Amino acid sequence: MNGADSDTPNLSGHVPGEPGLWVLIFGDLLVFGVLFVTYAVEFATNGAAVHLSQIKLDRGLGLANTALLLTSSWCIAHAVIAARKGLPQVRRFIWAATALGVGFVGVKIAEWSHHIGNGDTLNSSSFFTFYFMYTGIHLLHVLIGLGVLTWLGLRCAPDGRWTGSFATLEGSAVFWHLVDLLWVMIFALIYLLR
Amino acid sequence: MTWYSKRLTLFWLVLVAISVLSFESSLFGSRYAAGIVIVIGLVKASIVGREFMEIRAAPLVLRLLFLAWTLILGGALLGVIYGLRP
Repeated sequence: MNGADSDTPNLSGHVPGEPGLWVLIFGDLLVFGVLFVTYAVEFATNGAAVHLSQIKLDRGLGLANTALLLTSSWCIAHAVIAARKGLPQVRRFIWAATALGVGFVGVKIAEWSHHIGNGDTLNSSSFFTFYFMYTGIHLLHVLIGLGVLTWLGLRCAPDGRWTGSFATLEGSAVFWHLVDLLWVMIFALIYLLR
Repeated sequence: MTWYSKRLTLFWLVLVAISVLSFESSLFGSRYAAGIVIVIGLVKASIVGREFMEIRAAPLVLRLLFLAWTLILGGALLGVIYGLRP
């Protein structure tokens, strides 16, 4: 248990979390897949109008949020690793992941306030309908994830170790990574695709 | 006792580096720019799935389902954008 990657070799064939969770994960991936293709149709057929609204987005904020969620994912993955090794850093990693997720929400609120302040709301253009719907559905995932992370943090043993169910911790981490994965695609399609 | 995974840290670095380096790729103005943005997005999503969600070590059915999602979504997005765009 001292190699940096001793957490990986014995995982072959292991389903992280409860198998039932993966039905939810793939259901979500399927729904978002349809949403992504729907946006692509709008982008391809109504490109000029999309462009006029899209240039109002602050791509830098999108990039910042990408970095926040990727780093948050790294943290929760390390909470799982620490739990498998019986280390006391589990709680610290969970709170770090939570804090970065809260940072994501803060950036998103600032972004939304800016657009709404400029008169770009849910029904001001087709692009902003897509923007608010997709980032809104995603934000709901973030908030659910943050609720789960907070609950995990509170359930750690007083010394910071994880003494609860591994499937619960792993499954929650998988959901949090899904939130990250979906954001990566939203960032590419809504912010970057021109 | 090492508390961090070199592998995950390396992939995290790769993901952040790709995000920063590909930030301007959509502004190149070439007709391939849209395709590049989509492929880079899907590559990042695959890394998150395979490495962070541990799909790469999961049973074959899970690996195949995730691969299918990536490929079908990629094909659909590229098909729509290059097929429907005037």
